[in-house]
Amino acid sequence: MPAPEWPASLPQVFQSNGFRMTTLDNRIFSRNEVGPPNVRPRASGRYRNVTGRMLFTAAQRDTFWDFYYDDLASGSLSFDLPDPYDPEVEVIRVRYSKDGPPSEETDGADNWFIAMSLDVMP
Amino acid sequence: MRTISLSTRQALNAQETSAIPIFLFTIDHESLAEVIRLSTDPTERLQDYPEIYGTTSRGNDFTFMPINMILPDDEDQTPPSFRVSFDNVLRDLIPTIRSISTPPSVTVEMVMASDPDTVETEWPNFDMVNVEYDANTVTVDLVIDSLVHEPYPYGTFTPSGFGGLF
Repeated sequence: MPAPEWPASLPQVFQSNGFRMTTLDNRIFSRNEVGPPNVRPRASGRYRNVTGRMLFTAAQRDTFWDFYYDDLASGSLSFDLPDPYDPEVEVIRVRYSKDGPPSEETDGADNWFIAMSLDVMP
Repeated sequence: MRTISLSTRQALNAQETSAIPIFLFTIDHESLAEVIRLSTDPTERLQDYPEIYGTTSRGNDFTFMPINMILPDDEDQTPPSFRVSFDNVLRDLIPTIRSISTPPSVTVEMVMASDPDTVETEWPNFDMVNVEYDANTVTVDLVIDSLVHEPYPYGTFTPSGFGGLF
């Protein structure tokens, strides 16, 4: 069973304003009585978080929420998203993080900004 | 004395290292349809969607599950025992544990992420006892059936059985 894909009719890139890609700390430190702590990776894999917002039209906004609630079971399921750094070539598997569901705001015209926080699956 | 490879021993004692130790659990019981294999590391994606992470070692897939454990001591006079806590995320373990009435056998092996097919050390054939669970975690003890506490010999001359001797 393939993973849901980010709809092609929706924006494929994040707004540069506010975009952030964070690498989650995967290190474990073992303290010694004296001197610096020992350090090693806690687990395999790369753990990253993507935070940003996209600009939607009103029609796209409806499509997005249908995708979120119906295809992703209210954000519980992972999906394939165009890579923020290379959206035309690469795809990354992401899932909405426990930071919270997407939030939206509008400027009164047909512009809807939806902010979201995603965990990139290793 | 447990023997582990020189490279692993160097990594465990190093001030900084890229080595990642992985603990593999193999849970077996006669009433289980399949052996349960668990890993402490999401080494690779075993299934693309829905995602299942785990470790492949010697041809077997060990499913990743967040596990906390206390390793056994190396005491001469005390049988070794683990205290292991599994995250009860999928709720799969509880129905399985409740379906069996005798302790399942558990083998714990340590491998390195860089070479998952080589077992550095193992603790074979422990019994899973004292299972406690709630919505978040399943906590078990892994013990060796200690025969040192069994009475020997089987038969003894006691006043209750051989009154004429006393």
